[in-house]
Amino acid sequence: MLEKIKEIRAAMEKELRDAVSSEQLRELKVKYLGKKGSISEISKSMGKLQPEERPKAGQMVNELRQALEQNLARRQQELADKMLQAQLAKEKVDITLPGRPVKLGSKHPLTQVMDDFKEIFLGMGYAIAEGPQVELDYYNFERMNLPADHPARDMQDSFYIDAKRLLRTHTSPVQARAMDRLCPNPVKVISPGTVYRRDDDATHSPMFHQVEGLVVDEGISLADLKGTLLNFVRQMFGEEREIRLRPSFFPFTEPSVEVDISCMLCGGSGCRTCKDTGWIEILGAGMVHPNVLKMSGYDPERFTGFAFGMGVERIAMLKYGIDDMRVLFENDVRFLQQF
Amino acid sequence: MLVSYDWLKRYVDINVSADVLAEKLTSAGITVDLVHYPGEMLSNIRAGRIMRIDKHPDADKLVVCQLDMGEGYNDYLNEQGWLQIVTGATNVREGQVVPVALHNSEVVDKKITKSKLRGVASFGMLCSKEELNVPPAVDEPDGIWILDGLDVQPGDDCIAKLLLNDPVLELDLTPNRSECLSVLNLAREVAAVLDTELHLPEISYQESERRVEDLAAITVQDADLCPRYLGRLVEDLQLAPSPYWLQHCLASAGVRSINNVVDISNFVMLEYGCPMHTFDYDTLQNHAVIVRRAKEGEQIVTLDEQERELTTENLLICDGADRGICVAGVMGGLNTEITAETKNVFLETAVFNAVSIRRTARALGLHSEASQRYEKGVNIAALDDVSRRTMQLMQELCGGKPVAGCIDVFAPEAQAKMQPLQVSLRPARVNAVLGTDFTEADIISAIDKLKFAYQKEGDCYLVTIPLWRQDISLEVDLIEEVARLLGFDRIPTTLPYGAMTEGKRTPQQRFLENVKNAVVGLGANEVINYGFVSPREWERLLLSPEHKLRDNVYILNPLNEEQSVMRTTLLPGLLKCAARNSSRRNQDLLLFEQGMVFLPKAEQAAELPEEVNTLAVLGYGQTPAAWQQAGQAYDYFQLKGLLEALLTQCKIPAAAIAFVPADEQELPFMHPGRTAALYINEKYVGYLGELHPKVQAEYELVQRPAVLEINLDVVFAELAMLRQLNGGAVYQKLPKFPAAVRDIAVVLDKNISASELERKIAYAGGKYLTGISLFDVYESLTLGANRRSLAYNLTFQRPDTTMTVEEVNAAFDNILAAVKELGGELRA
Repeated sequence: MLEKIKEIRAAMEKELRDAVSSEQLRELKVKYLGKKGSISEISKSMGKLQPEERPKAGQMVNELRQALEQNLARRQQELADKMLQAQLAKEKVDITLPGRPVKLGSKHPLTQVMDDFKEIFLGMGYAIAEGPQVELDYYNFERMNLPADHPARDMQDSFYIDAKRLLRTHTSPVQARAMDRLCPNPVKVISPGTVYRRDDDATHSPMFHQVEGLVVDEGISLADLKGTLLNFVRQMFGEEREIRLRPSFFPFTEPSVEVDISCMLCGGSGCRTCKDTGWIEILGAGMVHPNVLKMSGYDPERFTGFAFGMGVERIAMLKYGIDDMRVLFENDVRFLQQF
Repeated sequence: MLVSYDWLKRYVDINVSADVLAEKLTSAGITVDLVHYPGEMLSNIRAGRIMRIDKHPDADKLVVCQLDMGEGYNDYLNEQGWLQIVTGATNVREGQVVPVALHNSEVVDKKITKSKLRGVASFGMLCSKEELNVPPAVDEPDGIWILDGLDVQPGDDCIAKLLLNDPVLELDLTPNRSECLSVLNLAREVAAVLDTELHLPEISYQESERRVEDLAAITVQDADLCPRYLGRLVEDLQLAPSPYWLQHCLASAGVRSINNVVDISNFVMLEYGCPMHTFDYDTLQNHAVIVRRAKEGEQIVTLDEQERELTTENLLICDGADRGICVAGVMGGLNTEITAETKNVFLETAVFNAVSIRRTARALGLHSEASQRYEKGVNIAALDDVSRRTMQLMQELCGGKPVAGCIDVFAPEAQAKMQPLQVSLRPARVNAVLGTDFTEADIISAIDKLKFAYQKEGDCYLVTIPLWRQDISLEVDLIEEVARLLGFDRIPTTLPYGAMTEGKRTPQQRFLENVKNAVVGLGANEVINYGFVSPREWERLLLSPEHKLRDNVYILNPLNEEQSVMRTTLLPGLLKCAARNSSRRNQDLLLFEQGMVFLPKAEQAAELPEEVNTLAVLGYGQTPAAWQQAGQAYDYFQLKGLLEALLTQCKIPAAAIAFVPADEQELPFMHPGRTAALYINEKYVGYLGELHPKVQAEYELVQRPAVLEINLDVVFAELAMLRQLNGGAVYQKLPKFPAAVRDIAVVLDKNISASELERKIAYAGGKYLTGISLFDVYESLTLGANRRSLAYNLTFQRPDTTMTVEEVNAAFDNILAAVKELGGELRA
């Protein structure tokens, strides 16, 4: 009996080792553990033993059964792992082949620059004001302190619809409308938008974009303008930027300034972009002219304000290193996809 | 405006270099664009006296000069101590002093070294004006520049002595500071910026016994266009070339020298920024001047020998015979110009209406130094100084005899403007506006630099504004003066102090941004096109003459026809983008534009047009293809999928959306069988479909684009309405009980649309039919002519319990019955 068990155990272990498929394992399971399997056979022959031998033999058969089950399970796992390995190996791909393409969209670089403006100024508590592109001459010029005979109002510089209406030449009329709407409350808005001037060459487009800003309140000063612009410029062009104010002239601000930023390409040491000056002119600004405040109903003794304005195309060209304004409006998809 | 450094130094102490001066002026608001160094290429030019001239032994056209080069020069001299130079010039004579470019010197475009000319050694070159970058006077003969009479001695360094490298400042003045078109006013500005002393010219001359009133008369008929006209007379002038200093000043300003009389008038114009005109007195009929509007069509031959036709908009100067002699402020007439025979000059200094001058100059295409200054405004108070300064120089330089007195026709209302303005300046206000803490002394130091008079009254200074500073009339103008003279770098940086404000977008702005982000997310590239288009686009789009897209806002003065009407649709812009890209071999495109279209308001022409936020998308070619994936053509269904995704993004419920066949009259540019009109809540929103092949050909597109265009303002309004009706999104519990899915394939007439069938199925299926999803469309003759099969997955589900088979069967039977009503049957 004991001999028999040892024999079975040895044969079983060998056969399990040799089995290479789950099929064979199933057969082995039947062969040893099945109703007519070896272990059943042995169990049946237990009756022939002496009663005192039975417990020991019974224990041995149980051990044999357990060992067999364990070995089977282990072997099954080994085989499964092996098959999985084989499958994984078979499924290997050239991971350097390109992925399935997903069509990517893009915003126009001018939109992206305007989005940047909006984010920065929204963060500083500004609202976004809008107004019509076909505007009244009154808002476009008169309200900006440009009287009727002013040279800037000559037909040749603006696209007119008729004597009273034109395509706005700047987004300033939006500011006049905002002041009209909000007076006597404070104003804090930016007005990004499309504007038109009668010019077409490598540096001028008959349609272009501006962003202007306006703050009107009690106690607003030129220092506030300077601080606001420094904050803006550093967010837009980098923390290390400095600004420089130079006196200038606009009919709707007094004092008026041109604002330069330290060149972002050379850091101020001088290069081609800044024409070796270290500074790049990016915007015009100033304190809102008392006449402009008065026309909206603000008392210029009590209220002061600042305004600034810049060309989106110019900023986009500086930011992305674009050297010809016309590519912005050609809409070549190879250009658009770069942004 | 160009002015030389040396010229400025005649009137103001300058203790810095031209470059530093330029920097200081720029930071004070007088922008110097550039400092030119006209002689920067020159080196080693020395004056020499021609001691002897011999014929060249081997060349008829050359001569051999021996020059005395003065003390201290020793190179290459012969035994007499002379420098030998061979020249081909014909105007050299023994005894003349001339500029000599020495061995190893540089002149314009050339390096000079010693050499042999036809076998004779030459140790340099005698120079002409051109070779030294000095513009010759008008009609000056060619040849070597003879320096006799110029206080130049042999041995002098010509570059220094003749100011050949005198820096020239090129100014870019802002319109408010056009008074600096005067060298004297610019000198005043320099004095303020550098805080140095001014030396303005002292005007004095000897008048003759004759009186101008006896010799000439002035009548101003149109005082509105000529508030002041001042005339003087100078007799016995001797025309000659101008002295070198005068020529040099004019040259630096870019004005060519003509003769002393003309040069003086140009010089004084540049000095004072005030134009004048000189008439040959003897050609003035009746020795009288009349200032009046021109008659319609009246003609005059101007100095440039052009015949000009005038209108009543133009002001004309006439003589006593009412003959036009000058287009006022723009250009003189040929009939009274200064000629070589001129002896006596009538001098006009006047102020003309700036707008009238501007219009006249533009109408005649004549933009002269004079007209530009009149357009910008001339200081009416300076006229007499200008006139007297001219008299002084004509006496000094032309030997003229000024006649006593002047005729000054000065409109009384204009005389009132001679009173200088007084503007108050409150130091506290300066600091409030600038955000500074300047002391009173700081502030007053700026006013002192300007040399403006002032007196203190309480907390306030009353500042007297000189008449040449027309740009200052308010306290803020003075505050700007303080800021720029004390320096903008002294202004601190602060942020506005006040109530917190909310920086946020309006709901509409948020919506429009979301739409743009969604379309970008769906793979489209944004384009930006001009707001104006060509009216020819309407023909290319096959629009009938009365089509509503042809109701346009027209531009009165377009640059060209291509940009002459405001767009009423974004489509032409996108089609042109597609054509341009296609011609550049960019064959697969998904482009969009989000922008305004402009619709005139019919009832009132003078009203502003309606500007409508519009979105248009164009697909062209196919979606990206790759090694394991074929591209899909951008067709109706591709764009429809995109639009559906967009509307879902916008939270428009499917039930509110309807696609209906488009009206061919409305959309003649679209494929009649492949175009839908989109409705939301039964409001027309836009269209979607494939382009009409004829229009495709018009735009020279190789492939047929699919396009959509929708009115975002309507979408936004309807979205707002839906939100009001339904509230925002409300969470729906996820189903707990399993769904039953049944397929159904229905064969029916092709003319019955899928949406109609689906509506029927949905209605018949009852409330537990929760999903209808099309999975197959099949057409075949075996189904019968004009019939097709549509196959759907139908999903049945109850929220409260598992549906029984019987319940599902009952619903399915209902659906079958409904299908039969439509003439459909189950597919075998």
